[in-house]
Amino acid sequence: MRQICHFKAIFVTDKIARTMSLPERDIIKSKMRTPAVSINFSKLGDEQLVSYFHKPIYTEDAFRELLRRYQAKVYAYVCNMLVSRDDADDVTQMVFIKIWQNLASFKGESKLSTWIYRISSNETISFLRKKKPEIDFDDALVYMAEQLQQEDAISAREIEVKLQKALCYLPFKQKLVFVLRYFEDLPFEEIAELTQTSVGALKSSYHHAVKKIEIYLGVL
Amino acid sequence: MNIEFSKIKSPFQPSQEHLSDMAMRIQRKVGIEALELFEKTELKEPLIPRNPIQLSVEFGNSYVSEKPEHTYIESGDSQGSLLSDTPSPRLKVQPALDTEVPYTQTVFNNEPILGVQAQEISIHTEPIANEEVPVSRVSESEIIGKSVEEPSRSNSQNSDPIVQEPNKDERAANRFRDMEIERKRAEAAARYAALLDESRADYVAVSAPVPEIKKESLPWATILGLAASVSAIATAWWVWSMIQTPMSIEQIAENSRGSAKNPASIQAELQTNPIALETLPIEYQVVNDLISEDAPKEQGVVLPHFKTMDEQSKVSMVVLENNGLLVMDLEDDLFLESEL
Repeated sequence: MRQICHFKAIFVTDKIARTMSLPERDIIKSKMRTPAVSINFSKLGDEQLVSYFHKPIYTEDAFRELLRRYQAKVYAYVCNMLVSRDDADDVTQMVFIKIWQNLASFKGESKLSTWIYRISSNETISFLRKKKPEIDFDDALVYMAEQLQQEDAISAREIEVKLQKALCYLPFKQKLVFVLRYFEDLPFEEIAELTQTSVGALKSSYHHAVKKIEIYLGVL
Repeated sequence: MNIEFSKIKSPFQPSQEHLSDMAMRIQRKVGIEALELFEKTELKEPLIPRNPIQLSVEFGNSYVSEKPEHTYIESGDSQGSLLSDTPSPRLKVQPALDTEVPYTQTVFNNEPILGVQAQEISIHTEPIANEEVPVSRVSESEIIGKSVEEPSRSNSQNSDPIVQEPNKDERAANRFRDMEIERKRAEAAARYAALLDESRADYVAVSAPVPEIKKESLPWATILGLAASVSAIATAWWVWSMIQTPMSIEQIAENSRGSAKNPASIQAELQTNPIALETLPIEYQVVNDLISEDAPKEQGVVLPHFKTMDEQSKVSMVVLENNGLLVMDLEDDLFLESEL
């Protein structure tokens, strides 16, 4: 109902605006765009921020705040999964485009971060599927280890690169659980919600991953 | 190596510039006004530590005498034109020996010196040592009531009458004013030099009083008091323990009997069987296999799938898992793409 009223108001104002000169129209339009009350989105929590997704006047600002908060996290997560920075750039963009498209449909039933990581995981998987249609996510994607050596942008400590290399020898599912838990510090409950699996299974998977990585690090 | 104990960072950390550029691209792609979301790091000049600037300057500071030294007092060109036969319109001033203060004395030589050949007038500028009297000394002399000897008196007597000597009070006042001006000028020069060049600031004398660092330490009385109280407590405890009546043998036996609980059950606990490999949790067996690949792999281990179990077993499995007695493995259709 509120939205209808809002559209009606825009329609009426547009009608009036047609009779005005161009500069006057611009002024009116800019006034329409700017909300009556300015909100400091940076001080809002995630739950409060979600409530502004459904208010058309504030949607853009709320999305910008979401972008500011989660861009670095999403980028780092996708980078860890795909190893390549260029691919991570593309996937991160796709993630946020998808978030923007589905902003209104997000009801806040799960946490905002869970929802974003879920979209990021799905986008990463679909990107890999598009790149290599015959890919099997139960196996390790070893070609990423070679890709890691070619990645010029990595100027990190030796142990960090070693860990990334060890991650490439993990089955993709284990790698995903490990990255979410180890690098992103997500609790098992949130990862379970994200991956639609049980906490016990995740713990087991993470435990296996850690043990394997420790062995790899000893060998590498 | 325990990676959980010492956490290793990810090498993929985006820079602010990269994030900013990407944010702009995303905003443009979704069709909203592209605004700067991240503060770009600006290159800032490194902070130069400033030495304290002097508040007072001694006479003879090098910054004061930066301007070219005037050893001549300009007498004006008109003078020269009027007196065509005069050798030089400039009056030479002897440089000061004892002090570096550029002391100038006003000479009213615009007055017509008709018939008198202008000559070089040498003015002694040893004011502080001989001629000039410091303000403190003036006031001292006034208090004492004695007149201060002025060696320049003989000079003034001998010098040309065109050089008008100001009287004592005027001279003292002028000198004081000159000192003030010089001091202020030197202060400003020093401050400016310190701001411009850090290396030059090192040469600036530090005259600002630096507060002494007060070392806060416990006074001896407090330390002694503490030591005394500790020793008093120790002594009291020792005395208390000494005056206690010794326990009888029966009491000791009773106490020891009371502290020993169920000796039979302890014996029963000691009779334990050695742990068989089969009783180890599956996860450790897997790890063991990974570590020693030569070890024979477990045969006949069947991992039942959760979906194939009957309802009662499923419930019991969940109960066991919730209590930490069972760990379920990953499901196969874990990461199917979810619908948004």
